[in-house]
Amino acid sequence: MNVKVFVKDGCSKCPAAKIVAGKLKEDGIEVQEYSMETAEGLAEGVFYGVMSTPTMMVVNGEDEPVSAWRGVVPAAEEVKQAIVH
Amino acid sequence: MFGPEDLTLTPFDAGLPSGTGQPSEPDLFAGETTDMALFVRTSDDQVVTWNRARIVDALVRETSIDRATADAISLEVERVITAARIRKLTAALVRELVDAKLVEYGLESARRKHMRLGVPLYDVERLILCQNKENANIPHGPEATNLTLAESIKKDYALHEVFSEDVSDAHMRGAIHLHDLGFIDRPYCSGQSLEYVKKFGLAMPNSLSVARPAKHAEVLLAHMVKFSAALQSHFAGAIGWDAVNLFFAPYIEGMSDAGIHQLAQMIIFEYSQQAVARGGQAIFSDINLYWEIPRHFETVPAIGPGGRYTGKSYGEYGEWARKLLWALFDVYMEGDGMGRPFFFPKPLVHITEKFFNTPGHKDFLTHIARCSAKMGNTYYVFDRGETAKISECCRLSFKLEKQDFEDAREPWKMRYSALQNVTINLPRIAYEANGSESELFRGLAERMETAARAHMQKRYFIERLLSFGEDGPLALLTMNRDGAPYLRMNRVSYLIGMVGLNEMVKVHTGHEMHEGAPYVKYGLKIIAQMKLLTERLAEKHGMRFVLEQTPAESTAHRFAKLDLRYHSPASGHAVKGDISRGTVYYTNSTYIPVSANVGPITRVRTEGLFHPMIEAGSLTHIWLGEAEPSAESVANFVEKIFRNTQNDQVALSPEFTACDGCGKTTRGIHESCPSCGSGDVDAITRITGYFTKVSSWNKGKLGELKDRFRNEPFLRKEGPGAGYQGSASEEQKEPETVLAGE
Repeated sequence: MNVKVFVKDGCSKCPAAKIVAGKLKEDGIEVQEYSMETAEGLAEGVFYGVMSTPTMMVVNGEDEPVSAWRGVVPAAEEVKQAIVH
Repeated sequence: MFGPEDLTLTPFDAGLPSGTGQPSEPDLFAGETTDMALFVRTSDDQVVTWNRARIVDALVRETSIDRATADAISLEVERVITAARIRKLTAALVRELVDAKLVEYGLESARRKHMRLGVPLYDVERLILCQNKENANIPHGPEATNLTLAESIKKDYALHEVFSEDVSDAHMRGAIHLHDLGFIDRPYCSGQSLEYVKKFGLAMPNSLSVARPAKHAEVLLAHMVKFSAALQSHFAGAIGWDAVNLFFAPYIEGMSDAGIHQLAQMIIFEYSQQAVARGGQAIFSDINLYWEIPRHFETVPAIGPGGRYTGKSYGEYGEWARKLLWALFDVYMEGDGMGRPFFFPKPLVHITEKFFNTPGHKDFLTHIARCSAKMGNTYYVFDRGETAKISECCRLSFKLEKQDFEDAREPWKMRYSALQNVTINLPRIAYEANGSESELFRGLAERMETAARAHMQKRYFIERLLSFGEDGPLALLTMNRDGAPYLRMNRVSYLIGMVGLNEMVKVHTGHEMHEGAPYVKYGLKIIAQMKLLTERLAEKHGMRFVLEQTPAESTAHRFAKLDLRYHSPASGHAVKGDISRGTVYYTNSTYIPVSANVGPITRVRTEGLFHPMIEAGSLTHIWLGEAEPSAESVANFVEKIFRNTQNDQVALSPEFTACDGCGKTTRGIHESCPSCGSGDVDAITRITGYFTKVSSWNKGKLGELKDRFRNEPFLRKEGPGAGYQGSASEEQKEPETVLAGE
């Protein structure tokens, strides 16, 4: 399991999503952060159907999303629970 | 440069009485002209006596070289002509001899200005005798020959005079493709509202007569078709109409079902039988259709007979709009007099959230799904969320923005145009990058810059033509009936397309896109980069650059051929088709290969991933072959596409054989008629975005047709595991699924 975070410049909730991402990293969880303003980030976002930022997503070992928060910022604990389950 | 061989036309030059010509120094060379009995055949059907001074005058007038050099060249040319004892001296030959001398003198720039545009005799004979297969929508005949000949000269003109050398060279080498060069003096395509014709009637510049707004539905149709023909002669490509069934509705209120059916028949036949227009080419026509009343038209006052407001809003015409829409599909389902599918007008049905909330939608979806399965006509255009758009061409669409929704209050203002389409050869960039990602992205950026320059040069040229106003060559586009010219240059789009994303990914990664998620992701990264570059270029130049899935009917073949020439052996491993037969092609735009053994839902999903980044239109084809799935399964499939994918547009394409012997049309492509055995048959199916006869296809598209993976087992009406039911087990039915769906 790992977490993907999709952000964009000028998005009001994205700084909060980055803070949650930072907490998850501190707890040893693999987090990949993508800017939707880069080709890499936009491609990854489009692949997972990201239509709004911030989006956080827990994906399994086969790169399949198991939980997603679109346009909202979950608490770090909520993400961790999704990983456990 | 364009005059009829003006090198030899002035009365002075031709040795005719002077007074009307404009020789700057008429007596300067008079005594030097040889008195040999030599005559020149000019291109305006005259035979005139030789006069060397005419060469001098033409050189000075056209190239601005100094008179002494021009005189020296003319003397040398005269000596060559005298020594060669030419029996039939033509103005064209004189010009070629002069051009050769300019090359000898190192005056390349002067030669370019002085060159002659034309077509070799051999080519003209071939054009007259053989069909031009660059565009399958052009039949073979005298009108088509005229069109092709004119196009070839305008194409040359464009490459020499409109575009800079670097842009022209990039086109000629096959790094990019400048579409419709033969129509250089026109924009690319036009989408508009029937309200323009309803409100203003037919009052076009240069018209022999003016028609007031129509009072009857049949007359409105006549106006619409004539206006379409007028637009076809001012645009290179498609002519699209928005919300046609809705805007006809005030004219059919109270009409009987039989009358509405008759009108529907007239609409379809009028467009499908327009193979008498420009170059014998049917108008590439699209009609956008809605089951619901689009939200932006709900409260708009309706225009009815005589161009007068009816006192109702369009929201009150749902019943009549739906009756006409249903009838249109009844007609599509019947097919033409031989039971063949209609090629035009293409019906584009918008599927929206409101569609599913509008009474009767389920029956209607099954109705158009039946038409899809049986005849293939239906295009499903998916407008999700707040999106609304007008579609046309093979997949082009204009998404409505804030200003457009304001225009919707006065719908005649809703008209959209793309000025030009430039396509980038993606595999070429991969060959040149030779495995280096930084080189790949550098090459992509460089090609995008070239495409932007091409657009700026075309814009400059069209603006020049428009500046002549209603007395100029684009009078129709400058007509001002509502406070703005018909073509609003400040609102036009500039299309940047792509061909061969799949082969680019293959050359760079060693895998085709359908072979796994990493390769789809790599393809997405390329298109994401194109989208970001497009946005940057748009901001930099203040022009509306947008990505489009290029139809690339002939470009996919042309690029593959040129890459085999310039990038062998690498290209030999990448191009599709049969190299020994020359039926080579690249996969169109962002598609996964047509030959990929993937089911329809995977194809729709995978290809749909690219669509949100391609603002100006995308389409997924489902090749049916002989299979005729049930209407219910197709309807179910369509709803699932709307709900569960990002796909923009889908069409199902069956194949047919039409027999000219017995007049029957049979499912599937056969070499002879299954009914009577006659070999006098036409295969019919969809080429890049429209139905046509396979006999008119170019070699590349024939190669593609052979490779197409038909989804027959999956979509067949009966049989094990058949029919898309939208079940949760769809991925199990399609184990090759590469997506991690939601």
